[in-house]
Parts: sequence; C-alpha cells; structure tokens
Amino acid sequence: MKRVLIALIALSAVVFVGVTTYSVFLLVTATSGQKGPARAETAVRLHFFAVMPHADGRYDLGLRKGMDNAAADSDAAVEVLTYRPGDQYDGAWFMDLALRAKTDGIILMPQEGTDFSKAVDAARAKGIPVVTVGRDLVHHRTCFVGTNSFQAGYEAGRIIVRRVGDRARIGLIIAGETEKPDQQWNQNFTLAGLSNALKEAPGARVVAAGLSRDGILFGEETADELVGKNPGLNVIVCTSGKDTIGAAQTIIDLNRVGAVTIIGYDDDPEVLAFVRKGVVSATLVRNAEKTGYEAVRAIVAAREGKPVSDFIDTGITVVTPGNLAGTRDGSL
Amino acid sequence: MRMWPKTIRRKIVSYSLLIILIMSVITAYATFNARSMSRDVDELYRSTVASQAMQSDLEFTEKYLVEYLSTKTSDSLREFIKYENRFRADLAPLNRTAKPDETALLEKNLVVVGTGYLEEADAAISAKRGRNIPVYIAAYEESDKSAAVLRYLIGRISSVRFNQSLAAYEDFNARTEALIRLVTLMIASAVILTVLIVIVYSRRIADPIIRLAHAANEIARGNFDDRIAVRSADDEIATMAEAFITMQESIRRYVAELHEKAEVEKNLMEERFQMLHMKNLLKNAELDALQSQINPHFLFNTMNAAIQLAVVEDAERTRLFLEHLSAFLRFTMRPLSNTVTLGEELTALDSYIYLLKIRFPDRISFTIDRDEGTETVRIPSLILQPLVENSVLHGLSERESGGEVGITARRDDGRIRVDVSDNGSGMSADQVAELLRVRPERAEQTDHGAAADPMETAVREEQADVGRIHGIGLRNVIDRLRLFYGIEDCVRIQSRRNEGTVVSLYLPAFHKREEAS
Repeated sequence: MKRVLIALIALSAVVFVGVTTYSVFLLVTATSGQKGPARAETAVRLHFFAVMPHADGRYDLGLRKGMDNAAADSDAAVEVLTYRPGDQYDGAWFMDLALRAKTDGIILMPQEGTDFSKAVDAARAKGIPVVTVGRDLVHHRTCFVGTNSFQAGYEAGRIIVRRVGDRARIGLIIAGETEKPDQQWNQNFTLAGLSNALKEAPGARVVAAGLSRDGILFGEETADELVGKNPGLNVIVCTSGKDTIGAAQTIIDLNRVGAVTIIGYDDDPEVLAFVRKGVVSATLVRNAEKTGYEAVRAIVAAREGKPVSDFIDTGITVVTPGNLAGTRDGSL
Repeated sequence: MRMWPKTIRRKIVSYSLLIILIMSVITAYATFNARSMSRDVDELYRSTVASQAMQSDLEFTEKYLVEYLSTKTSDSLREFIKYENRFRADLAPLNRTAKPDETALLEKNLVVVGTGYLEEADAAISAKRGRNIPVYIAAYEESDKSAAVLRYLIGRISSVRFNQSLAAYEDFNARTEALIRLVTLMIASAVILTVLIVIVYSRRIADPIIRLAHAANEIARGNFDDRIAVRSADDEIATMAEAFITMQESIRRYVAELHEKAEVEKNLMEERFQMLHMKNLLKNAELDALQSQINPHFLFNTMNAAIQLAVVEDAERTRLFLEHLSAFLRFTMRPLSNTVTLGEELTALDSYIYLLKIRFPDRISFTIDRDEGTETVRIPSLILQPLVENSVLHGLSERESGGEVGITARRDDGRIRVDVSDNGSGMSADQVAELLRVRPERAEQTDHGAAADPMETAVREEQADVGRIHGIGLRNVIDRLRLFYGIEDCVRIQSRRNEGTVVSLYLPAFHKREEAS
C-alpha cells in the first residue's frame, strides 16, 4: 500500500511538472512568436518594391519566394505591392508610391490595362532601376527576367507536331489585350516560336486566336467562343494558367476531351490536375522561383552599377502526364 | 542525508509550503496567461488608437494647409503648424530603416513619404508667402499626392497591425484552448498530488501513534516483552516512542522484581509449611507417647519391684530381662524431638535385641558392628529400633530359624552410613518405590504387604499394638529423617524377594556441638 502511494505521488508529480513545463513552454513560444523571426529585427542595406498584379497563383507565389530568397542573400528587403487594373490604386500609382518612398529599385510585373511607361521612365529618371518579370515592357526597363516567349511558342509547336501533326487546327488564347505595343511584341515572339516548330507539320494551321481578359472566368469564355466558331479546331494553345483552366473546363463541358489537344501554361494545382487526368496534354511551366531570385539579383547588380543583361532567361519546362507522375506530389 | 524534515512541526510547514507552492504555480500560470491575453488586446488597442491619431493629424494638416493656401490666415497657419508638429510626432516613434518585415517597411515608407509630404507642404506655404503661385500650386499637388499615399500607408499599416494582432490573438486563442486543457490537467494532477501527500503525511503522523496505542494495550495485557517498532525518523513521535519504551522497560523490571519477591515468599511459605508439618508429626508422635505414659512412675516402680523380687528369688535371667525392658522403655519414653547419639541409640537397640532374643531364642541372630567414633554422631531418637522391628516382624516373620539381622555403622564420605539388613522375605520393587516416594501427606502406614498366615497375623497384631503404643514405623522413620535433614536422598532400600532387605541410612555427621545448628 505504501509503495503504491509513493508510486502514485511520483506519477502525479511527474505529470504535474511535465504539464506545467509544457504549458510554460507553450506560453513562452506563443509570446515570443508574436515578435516574428529574428531577421525582422535586422536592418538591411537595400529596400526594393515589387509591384505585381493581385494574384495568388502558383507562379506568383513562386516568384515571391524567389525574391525573398534573393533578398535574404543580398542584404535587402522586398516589399510587395499588389494592384488591380482599374482600381483606385493601380500599378502606376504603386510605382509612384515606391518613388515617393525613395525605394532602391522596383521589380515590376506589368499587366494589361495599365500604362507603366511614364512611371518606369520617372523611376529611371531618378536613377532607380526597374526590372520587369513575367511580361516584358521591351523599352524603358532596366532588364527583363522571365521566359523566352519564342522558346515557349516553339515548345508548344513541337508538342502539336508530335501529337496532332498536319491535322492540327490550332486556336490561340492570348492572355490580356494586345493593343499595347509591348504586349504585341511578346505575343509575336510566341507566335514566331510556334510557327517555327510547325514547319515540321506543313498541314497544321492556326485557325483562330482569342483574347482573354484578366479574371478566372474569362478563359472559359474565350475558349467556348473559339470552339463554337471553329468546329474543326482540335488544338488550343493557352498563354496563362487561368486560360488553361477555362479551356479545359470548356472541353469537358463540350464532351470533347481527347478530341481537342490543350497545350496549357504554368503549373497551378488545377492545371496539373487536368494534366494528370489527361484533359490537358501538356503544360509549359515557367520557373517562377528562379525568375524572382534572378530579378532581385539583377536589380541589386544594377543598383551597384554592375552591368546587367537585357534579358535573363529562366527557362521553361514541358510537363506531361508522363513526367508529372514521376514528380513528388505532382508538383514541380 | 535525509530528505524528509525531522520534526512534525517542520513536516507540517514543509508539506504546507509544498501544497502552497503547487497552488501558487497554477495561480501564477493562470494569471500570466490572462496578463498575456490582456497585453495582446492592449497592443491591438494602442496600435489602432495610434493609427487613428495619425490619420486624424494628417487630415487636419491637409485641411489647414488648404485653408492657409486659400485664405492665408495666421490662424490656419498656426493650426497647420500645430498639426504638422503632431503629425511629425506621430512619425517619430516609427521605424526608419529597411528591415525584412512588412510592418517595419511600411513604417519606413510612412516616415519617408510623411517627411516628404511635410517638406512639400512647407514648400507650398513658403511659395504662397512669396506669392509664387505656380510653385505653390505644384508643391501643393505633390503634397496632395503624397497625402494620398500617406492615407493609403496609414490604412495599410493599420490593417497590417490589426491583422497581425488578430492573427496573434487568434493564434493565442488557439493555444489558449490547449492551455485550458493543460491547466485542467495541472489542477487535476495537483489535486491528486496534494491529496496523496496529505494521505501519506497523515499516515506518517498517525501510524506511530496507533502503534504506540497498540503497544500500550499490549502492556495493559501484561505483555512487556514485545519491542515497540519505532520509525527511524527523529521526530516528536519517535521521542514519545522512546520514552514509552523506557517506561515499558521500567515496568517490565518492576514486574520482574515483584515476581522474584513472590517466588521468595512462596519458597518461604513452603518452608514454613514443611516446618509446620514436621511439628505436626512430632506433636502426633509426642501425643502418642504421652498417651502411652499412663503412669510411667508407677510402671517403673513396679518394674523395680519386679527386679527386686527377681533378686530376692535369685532369678537372674528374669532380673536381666526386666532391667533391659526397663531400660528400653525409658529410652522410648524420651521426647521424640530430642536428638540422641548413635551410641545411645545402639545401647537402646541392644536392650531391644535382648528382649527379642528372649522371645525368639533360636529363630533370629543379631549382629551390631560400628566404626570407632561413630557413637558420638547425633541423630533423631528411635530411628533404628523401628527398622530392626520391621525386619523381625515383617522380613523374618516366615522364617522359623536362621533369621539374621545385622546393624552396621560406617563412616562414608563425611557421612555416617547405618545399614539394617535381614535375610527375610524381602520386598518387591513397587513396594520399595512406594516406601521411598515423596508424598505430601506423610501418614503413617504399614510398610510391608499383609500376610495371611498365623505368624504374620500375630506379627501384624503386634505391629498394630506397637503402632498404637509407639506409632512409629519404617515410613515414619523415612519421613522424620527427610524432614530432619532436609534432604530426600537420606534413605536407600535394597531388597529382593526371598533374599532379604538392606535399609541404608545416610546421616550427616553432626556431632554433639553441631546439634544446635
């Protein structure tokens, strides 16, 4: 009986001490956790702004991660400002904010609907480097970091040749409006790459092209219009993740899965899911993290007066159901 | 080194402190928890108030800037300066360096843009005072844009702070759920711990007291030998137990002394009883003797007359017979409590043997042999005659002739050994054992078994007569010797059927001067 009592006392004492210690640990970590990571307390040398469209796609998240990594490696901090075209605070307005805040450099991801030319020129006039990512402004900016549009078009063309060949009747969904000269320049390069690849299938032809507005729903609208107007269309080439999702949804709704080959863009989870199901034949994936990283490195180099390349190609990867299965959890 | 406190007072204090400590830990923890939550709410409130104050000061700065630029009144300028300073004061505590933290960067932006705004506003006012209209308008437009950026930044920082505080608060709330479960577990384990401690502690105090109570009950039952198990702790209970053990030992010694005294008294009483018994035997013997002394003077005068008559008639044998008879009777008339010398006893025995030889002239021969110096040893009187009488009346009663009775007195290892032997019918071992058996009642009995023949009948009748006259037999002799000397092994009997009997008396050699002791 005595031994049982002593054992119970020891057990309850251990439980009490253990629970108390664990509770104090939780409390301390909860309190210290509010202070944020230690790096947040350290001042850095450079302060950059990244002006990007408001989006939380895989490409956007990868881009931010790459920028953060590069900032940490470069004794810099990147402050991200997101905009929506047409809003009170659009991309140009944020560029103005960055200039008033006396930033050390701006990473700009241009989007249709906003004219950044003046803002970029104003920054350059103040000696502030501007690096564009995702889409190029061609002129004004310090350098462009991203995918080679010609290479992207060429890869799409190769897939079409291999899968469809001369029978290919191709419809293009081009993201954003193309009235702006800079955008046209990008699309031209994409089309040039595509055409170059299609030389191996002389019968293949681009039969239609549609412009999609920004917004998750507009990709489906454009695809539906393309297919409706072109019954013989058997290939759709997309130039954004949202367009890919919309096109795939349209083909499923029209019960034409397999009959229409979709060449997607980016590696959003929904896109990869369609690739895995075979709805999307292949998707062209940009290396977002590398793009973000190289953008910061380029702007740091420019800030320090070092020579910076006009175009930094971060490459493109073709993801098909075959190589998707080999990747961990289906992501790249 | 012992972990437990020694005294009960220290135990009570230490256990109470332990329980208080446990409860204090829980209370302190709960208080700190509540305090931490309160601090989060306070921080949220302060950041909100600071953002609102900044927003307000910026609006008033803009308002009085516009008012001054449009009206140019000193009141508006004073108010502008007032709110400009307040806005500058609002910016003062904010972070001014670039850090990889959203709030820090926002604060830095706020400071840079805010400082730029105030410079632009000051420039506009200066231009207004200098009536430089294009410049003040341009400066005002810039300040207006900067104010828009500032409003955005204030709203953003307020939102970020709010979200951060909210996230922290929600995170804390989520942790609090776990903490509440942990606190419940803490309280439960603390309650179990304290209850168990109280149980053990109360047992530690109560058990020795209960053992003491049991020990007291054992002592009350008369058991002084069980040692009280005292816990090795050096507390008040142990001290009390030690005192109790000392008391137990004292009582045990006292009771042992009482037992010893009682034993001594018991032995004394037994000795007294034996003395009384001996006196009783002597009184009985004396009474019997007195009863036989009907008129000794008459008897001895008559005996003397008979002796004189025998002398006158020249009857020599009759005279000798009467003289031996008279001498023997005189010896037997002595008080039995008196001692005699062995020589006196043997002289009286000579007279008795003479009488027997006259009565049984050819049947029995008697021999007496004694060592030199044995005649002065003092012995109880009349102890040999009954033995000779026993040999004649019982041992040799069946022999018509050839009967022999021998009496020898020898020195034997500091004692005197007197043997009375015969070659008569002897006794069985049972009879010998019965005679030598130590019995509380020492009633006189006949010593040999009854015989049916006429000779034996005559002997028994004579024995009965002798018993009535003297009341002394072998049994009586044994009892008297044992009582007289206080030892049991003073008489031995060797006897075989049809071969004879030897009765040996082992008498301490008390001489005349030692008799008194």
